[in-house]
Amino acid sequence: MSICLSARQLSKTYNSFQALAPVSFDLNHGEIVTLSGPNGSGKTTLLSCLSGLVRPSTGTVTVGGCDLYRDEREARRKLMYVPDVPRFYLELTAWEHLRFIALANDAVDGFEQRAERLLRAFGLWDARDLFPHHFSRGMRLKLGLVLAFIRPFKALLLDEPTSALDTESVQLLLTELVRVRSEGATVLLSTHDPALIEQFGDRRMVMRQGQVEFAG
Amino acid sequence: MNAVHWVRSRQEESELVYWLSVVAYDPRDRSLNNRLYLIYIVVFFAVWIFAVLTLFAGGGAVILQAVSPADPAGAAAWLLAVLLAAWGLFALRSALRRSPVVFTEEDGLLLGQTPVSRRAVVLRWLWLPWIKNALPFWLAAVTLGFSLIEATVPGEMGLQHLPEYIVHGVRAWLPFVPAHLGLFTLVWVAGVARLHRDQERRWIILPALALAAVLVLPALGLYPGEGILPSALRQLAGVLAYPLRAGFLPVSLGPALAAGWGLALAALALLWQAAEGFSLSRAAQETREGAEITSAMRYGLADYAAERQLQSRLGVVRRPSRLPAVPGPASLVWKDLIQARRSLRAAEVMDWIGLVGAALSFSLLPDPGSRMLALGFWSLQVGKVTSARLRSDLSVWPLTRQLPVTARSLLVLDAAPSLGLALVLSLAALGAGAAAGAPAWAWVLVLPGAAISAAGSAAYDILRRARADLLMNGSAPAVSSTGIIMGAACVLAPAAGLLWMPGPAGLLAAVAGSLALAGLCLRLAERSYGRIGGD
Repeated sequence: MSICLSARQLSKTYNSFQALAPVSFDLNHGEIVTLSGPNGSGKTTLLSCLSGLVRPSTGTVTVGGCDLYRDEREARRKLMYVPDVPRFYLELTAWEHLRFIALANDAVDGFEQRAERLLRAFGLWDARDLFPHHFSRGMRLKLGLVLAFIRPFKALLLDEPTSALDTESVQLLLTELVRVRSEGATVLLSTHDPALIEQFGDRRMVMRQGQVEFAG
Repeated sequence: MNAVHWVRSRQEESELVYWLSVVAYDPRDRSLNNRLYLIYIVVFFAVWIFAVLTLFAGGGAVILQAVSPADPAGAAAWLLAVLLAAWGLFALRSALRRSPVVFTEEDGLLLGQTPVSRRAVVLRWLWLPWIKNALPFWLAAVTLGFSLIEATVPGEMGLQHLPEYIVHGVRAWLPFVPAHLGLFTLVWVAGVARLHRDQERRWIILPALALAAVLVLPALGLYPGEGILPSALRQLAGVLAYPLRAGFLPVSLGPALAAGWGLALAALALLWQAAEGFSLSRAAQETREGAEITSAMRYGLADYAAERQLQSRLGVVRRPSRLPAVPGPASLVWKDLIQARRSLRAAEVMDWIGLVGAALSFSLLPDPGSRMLALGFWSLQVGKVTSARLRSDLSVWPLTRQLPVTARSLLVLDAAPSLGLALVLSLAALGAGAAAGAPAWAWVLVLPGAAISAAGSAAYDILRRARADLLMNGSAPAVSSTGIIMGAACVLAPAAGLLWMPGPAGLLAAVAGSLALAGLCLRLAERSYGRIGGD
């Protein structure tokens, strides 16, 4: 399998506190990796460093052969991160968010059909003209996921995406993840759900006190 | 009633503690020093307020004599009537759209779901908003009383006139108190009567229109001299506004006070009646958000308050924008235009007016020192208007950071629409100055570099202080004093060169300097963007 996302000596220290010990690992094309660990083990820090939202203290991240900081624009086209609490532009409706992300990522071909399919699938079609600040927490998470799927990517990072979703939406999300995996994308999914960890991922990453271990 | 009184008295106490804390008084401190400090505060503010009002009274006297040299007392009553009418119409419109009885979320939970007397709640809730509303009017009435004495008593005003000031001030204030209370209560009657049990009584607008007429009639009819109303209506206006007029005329205050308090008591009785079926829960729904915003602004959470106000103004639904869009980084401009159109506020318009005013002042002011001051203020306004979008985008850090655009593109495209508008308006102001005989053609060449410097300095200051953890929570820093000073320095340095080195050499140095500083500021901002999250 070819490498999609690669981290080398990635670490993050806040003042004297080491939130993430130096880690190196590779994620392959076409695989789903679950990331689990106790609260405060560094999962969100790892995902934030991999996505570039937080600059690591040491190390590099490469996505599809592009360095996240040296080839920033190309790397960003291939990578998408959905935080556990997505934030949205106050003045744009759900539909306009989708349009903006599609425009910014040059993914306008077939946008309307793709957007309609995703919004209907996640139960947001009737809410497409609403402002996201009127959404429930679960709806905001779904919109964050739809914003990820509206554009092409090679690697998808998800921070506890199932925490606020209903059962039906969880199944839908997993179906979409299987679909993108079959198209060759890499998914790194942080979760506390033991069933998801046991049955869903191709591999498991476990974090403890800022250290990463692979299992299975 | 006791429970209602207890809850409300706690809120009133909290309000008093807040205002006392503004003057650094802690009511929990029972020491002698602190009690002496309270006496000092009371005496200090009494004297200070008196002094400020007498200062304004000078200007007020000029206005009274301009309105009616022969009848300054009538002019004072008319001005007060106009102020009351303006406030009353606005308050009436507000009360017909949103409950005048304001409940916080806690009030809504505590009171809205308990079987308390609605009448008790409404009447107990009345007093604090009334006092807060009345205070500026009381000050206006007293100031007009002071203005009247300054307009009528010949010669220089001195300390020997202090008793006359006090008498005139108190005299203007006394009959105004019950008259204002009566009108304020009548506005509440309209608002309270609208929310009756499970109905919204739309027909309340009819008596509200009658009340509006009562408010407007004195404002139109009391004008000294030739008025626009027929004689009969002017006489009616005089009768309606008798309590106001009596405060300024040499007549007995007894009938005016009786009329005023009669109005107030009648209005309170009406409110008592109207509050019988008042829907507390619906009032809570209408006012909860406004109460939250007010509280946030009071405790310095300006960004949060602005965000909630914007959410309220945007409403729930909006049809998709039809603005044409270009794929790629230019989509940032598309997004910015939609956001700018939907979030435009009066405060932002004032910022733009300030920017144009500063550019015009710079063009028209004669001496270099004043021009530098105007230019400094201009750079502050440019930094403010051009950095607003960057702050807004930073507060949505996960989305913004993941856009496939370079830092330079993001900074340029975020600032481009507002920077372009700032340049156009500033050039127009320079043109207006030139038309008024103060040409500043050299500045046309320096302005673009100066504007970019100001914008870049503001952006750099925001970005160097931005922290990823706070951005993830939607909190982006505002421009600090460092950014303001840096922006002013980058604008003033080349400008000073042009002012003190006239001729082509100075112009060349100024243009080159402004462009170099613009490039430097942009580069600094770009590097700072890349460092976010490295803390």
